[in-house]
Amino acid sequence: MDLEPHTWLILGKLAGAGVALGFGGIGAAIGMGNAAGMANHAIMRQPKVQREMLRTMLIGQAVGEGAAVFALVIGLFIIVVSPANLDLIGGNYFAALLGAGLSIGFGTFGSGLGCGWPAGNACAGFARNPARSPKLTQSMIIGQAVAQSPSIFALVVSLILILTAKNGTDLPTMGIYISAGLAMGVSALGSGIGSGQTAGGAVDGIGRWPLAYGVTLRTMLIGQAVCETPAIFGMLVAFIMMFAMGDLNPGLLGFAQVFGAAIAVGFGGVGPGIGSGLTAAKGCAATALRPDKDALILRTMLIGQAVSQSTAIYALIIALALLYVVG
Amino acid sequence: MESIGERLIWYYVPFTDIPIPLGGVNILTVFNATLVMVVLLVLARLAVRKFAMVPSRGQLAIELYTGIFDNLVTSSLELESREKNRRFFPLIGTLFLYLILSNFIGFVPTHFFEEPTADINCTLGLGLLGMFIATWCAIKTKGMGGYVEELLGPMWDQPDATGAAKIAGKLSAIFFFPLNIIGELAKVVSISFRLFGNIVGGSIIIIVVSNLVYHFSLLAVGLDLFFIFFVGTVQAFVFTMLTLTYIAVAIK
Repeated sequence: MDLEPHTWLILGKLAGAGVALGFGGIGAAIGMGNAAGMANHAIMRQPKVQREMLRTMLIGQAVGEGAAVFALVIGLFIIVVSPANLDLIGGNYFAALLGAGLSIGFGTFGSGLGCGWPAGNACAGFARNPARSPKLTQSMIIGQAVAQSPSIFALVVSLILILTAKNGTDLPTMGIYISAGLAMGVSALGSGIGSGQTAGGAVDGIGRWPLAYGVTLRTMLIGQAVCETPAIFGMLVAFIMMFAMGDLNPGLLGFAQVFGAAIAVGFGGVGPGIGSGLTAAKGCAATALRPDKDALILRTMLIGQAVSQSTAIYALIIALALLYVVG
Repeated sequence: MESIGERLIWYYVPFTDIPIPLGGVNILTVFNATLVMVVLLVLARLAVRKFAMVPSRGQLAIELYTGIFDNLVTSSLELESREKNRRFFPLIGTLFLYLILSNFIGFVPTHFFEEPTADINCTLGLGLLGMFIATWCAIKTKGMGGYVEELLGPMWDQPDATGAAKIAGKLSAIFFFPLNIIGELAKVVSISFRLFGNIVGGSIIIIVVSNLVYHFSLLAVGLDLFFIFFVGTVQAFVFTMLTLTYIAVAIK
């Protein structure tokens, strides 16, 4: 693979920015469409407060679009970035830009998709009880902001990849950069969807029974934190790959080693993220309806989530085994 | 923008050549963690200097905080008496105050004031502490046998099973026991890396954005406020509540 440095740079920019915006846009678009659809349904039920409802919907969509804005920022950054030693860059720089694109693209997919539920449910709750809109808007914004922390992890990993890429071309380093991005991005996908669902369940519950605001918000924060565990495992593996790898096998073998680990921890984390989100969404809605039984619901929710998380733990173990035991 | 955060690592015990194990100690983390403790102690002393029937502002704040967290601990643990619940209140209440002040310390715009929680050693220590307390409480309430039996999986103890079903139940422990042990360890990893990742991620984003937009610094200040005050508070609360919930699950 003897290409000119300039060719590597342009290839990296094309691949990285394309992947970032291509995947990053999908989630936010679906999520915001979902929110708008639920808002339409809510306006049908309560046409008198259409102006306020439109405002709630737009606030929710604006905060939810934040995920797509992260992807846009990284995409533009990839396009305008110009490394110091243009003559020395090679395949590693291409891999770093592609990895950054993979990380932010998949990472913001989930958060954008997830942030639609709180926005839509806030509109539905608004139709049910227009007098309680400040509480609904507050819980919606808090839920969305926390649901975006997987995409913030992805943003961090992609910034590190872009800013610390090495010169030259060698297959194991290219593998590390692409795999770090893939591990972080794909594992953040499920976590983003899951924590968005959790926020949606909480906003739904608060819309039905606004007096349980505080206790529902507490359950939501804990549920979202557990949903984000796969993204944390992905970030852990990405950091290990970038900063704590010893000598990899030379050539294709080293590439395959890190790439397999990334596939394991990345795709292994999608299911647990979405699954614990389903659990936590129901848990939050249940807490709002029976605030006196919050401790029991929280305990049951955590035990159920822990079982769902176990597959993410197996994936983490396989990834660590691939990195350190095999080879 | 070459380095993120300050590091001042002692690889040897000062004035000797005895190496410190596990790659040295980051003195800045130790310094900032101690600073947080000293500030908390001074604030606590000032707040309770004179108790009055009509509370002063400091006393009111402390009473509010105590009331909220006492309520949280009581409703989460649901033990039979209020005194038993209260035994966990000092741990939980102090953990939250310590974490929230640790996360806010990055707001001091000077060198050497780094969040101790941006060092994985600090959060890992706190996570191990929480898990140790949870395990200890579990052993204390269920006994060593009960605790180990729980680790052996749901099929270990089947009083009404006979013959092959009983043997199969016992054999299932070979599968469940390692998984439960790994699950316990994964709890420590996830709780400590969650706090560490959020705090470090915030500081990396703030540094990169401030470098990119230095003509328009208002954006960086806004990000600073969001990451330090909002994310810092939420993550401190999540860490505290997860520790409390692990204890609550362990003693049920």
